[in-house]
Amino acid sequence: MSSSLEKNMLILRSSDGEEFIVPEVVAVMSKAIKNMVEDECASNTIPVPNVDANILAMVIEFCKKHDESEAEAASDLKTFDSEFVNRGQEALYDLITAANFRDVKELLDALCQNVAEMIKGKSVHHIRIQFLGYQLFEILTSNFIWNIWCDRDFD
Amino acid sequence: MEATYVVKKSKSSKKKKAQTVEETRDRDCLTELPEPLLHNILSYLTMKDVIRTSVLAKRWRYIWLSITCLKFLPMKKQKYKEVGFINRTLLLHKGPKIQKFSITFVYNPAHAHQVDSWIHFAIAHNVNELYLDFPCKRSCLFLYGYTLPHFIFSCRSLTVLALKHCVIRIPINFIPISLKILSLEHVSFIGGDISDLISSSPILAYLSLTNCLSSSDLYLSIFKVGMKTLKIHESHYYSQSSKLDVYAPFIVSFELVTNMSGKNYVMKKMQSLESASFDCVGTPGLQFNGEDKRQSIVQILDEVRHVKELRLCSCYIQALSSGEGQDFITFAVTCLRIKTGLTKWELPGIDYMLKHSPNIETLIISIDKNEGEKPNDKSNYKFNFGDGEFWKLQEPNFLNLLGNLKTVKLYNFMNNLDVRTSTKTEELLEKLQNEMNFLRFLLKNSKVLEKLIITTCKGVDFGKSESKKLKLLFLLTQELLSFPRASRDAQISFS
Repeated sequence: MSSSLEKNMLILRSSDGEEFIVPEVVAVMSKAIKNMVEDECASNTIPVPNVDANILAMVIEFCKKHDESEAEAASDLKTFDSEFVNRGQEALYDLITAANFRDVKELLDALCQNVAEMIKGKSVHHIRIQFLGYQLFEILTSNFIWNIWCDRDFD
Repeated sequence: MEATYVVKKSKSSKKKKAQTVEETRDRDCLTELPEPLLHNILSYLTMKDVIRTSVLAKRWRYIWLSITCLKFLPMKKQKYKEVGFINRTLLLHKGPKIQKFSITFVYNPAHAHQVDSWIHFAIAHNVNELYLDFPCKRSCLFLYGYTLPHFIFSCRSLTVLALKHCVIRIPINFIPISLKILSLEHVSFIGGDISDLISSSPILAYLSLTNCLSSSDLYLSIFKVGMKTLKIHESHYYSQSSKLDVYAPFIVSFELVTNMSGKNYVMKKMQSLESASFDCVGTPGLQFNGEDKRQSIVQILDEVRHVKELRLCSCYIQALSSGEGQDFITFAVTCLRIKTGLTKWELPGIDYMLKHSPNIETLIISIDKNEGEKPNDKSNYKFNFGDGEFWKLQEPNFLNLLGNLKTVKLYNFMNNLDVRTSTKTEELLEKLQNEMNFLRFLLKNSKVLEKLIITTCKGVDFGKSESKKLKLLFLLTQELLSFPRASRDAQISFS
């Protein structure tokens, strides 16, 4: 750890043991890591439990992009964001929990906004298809009365 | 109170467990997210969509009752139904606290007491951020607009207050001790003006005024130490006032967007200013025919010569162009952002900025669309050089300058390129000569340059001729690499 090159680098270890070398400026976009660095408990390797290598790589990719870009390229960043968060539900779930757990505000906001976008302006029927997929029939019957009330009032 | 809360919580966690077992069959991962995250997701939606989620699953059914961000937008249904909807939603809401309350409601004086009661609801729930917008169908805001009830100004929990299309009756007794951000748009004042409001608000850090300055001359003096940011936007073409004085010794960041309607802006004593931004709207062309307008711009720039970060639009650059040789302002700016074209009406201004900012480290240029307007003939005599030769003529004057320039960024490259009119790649290349000459000049004269980043404009439409685009980019890169460089370490990135 003595060389000057490694001074600004941190090593993050995911839950399944893979290690990522990340510049400090990128890593501290996570508030949890930032606190660790500031309290100087981040001597060597920072373990990131609960987050596997796959998801951690995605989070790091996002943070890197956000660290590099400038205010002028805001529209570029937006398209990057929308492409980045456009994933399947399972990946979304993992990303949201990771972002929440590590306290990466930008990522969490982008992800939550994406999920909100999935709900926005759609009819009850469509939201349910999007969220619940094949379980549709079961819920349709169990929520029948509630359903009528909602559709009447808010459509 | 606390005990019941704990009991409730344990119950819900039991429920959660039961549910996760039940839902392992599903692919519906999102429903399994903890409740604060679901609230976060719902905070991006309007109330209408939020309530719809109650039918998604058992878990979602009651979540909307306790959300902390409420957002109402105008609906397409009849007015009384919309009012009823809002009333019922607020009636059903549970939870002691509202974080954000945002409402946009097409207002009509008959609904005054309803609107009052909604705002009262928010304030009774210790709202932190309040966004109110009451557009009015009739044009006269004074007669038909919504007059804010005074109890807003006695709410202690408010930190953010954003008002649009409202009327404020002065005098007010300002109590919100935690109010940091105040944003006003199209707000009218009865019995006073904006300065009365500011002087009665105790700790503000951020103030944004959009089209709400009164019609008389205004003297805006802000003596508050914590006040960091001031933004003034004015695009009213009917703005009658002739003068605006800003006197704000503690402001750190200042932004002024105007329509340059002949109003006189005077700024004084902005000692602690660090970043300043000036932009013009509505008048994209070259509007600097009058000498007094140019003078007022030069005065503004003179007042901000000590800032570290400066952002200018084409109008200001052109004002400097037409006054070349008369003004002697030296800027302390280290980061200069300009939104401009590179026509011959702007080049002398850019040249002036570069010559008179010895500390400049970062130069960010965003190429603006040329609207094709030209200044009147009187000032034309100053620009009798060919577009191409300009930087060559200037080079001898830059021998000892640009000594600190490390980063140059050029955004929206090729913004003015009209691909449809010219068919040959060589013609297109010819049209970019202005930009290329400027880059050549920068590369040749900045000795410590580390980075040159060029980003092409996304909007350029090459249609089907993808090969033409590739060929053009290739030729540009080739030319770029052939330029002599004063700095050995300069990286060029072109995308």
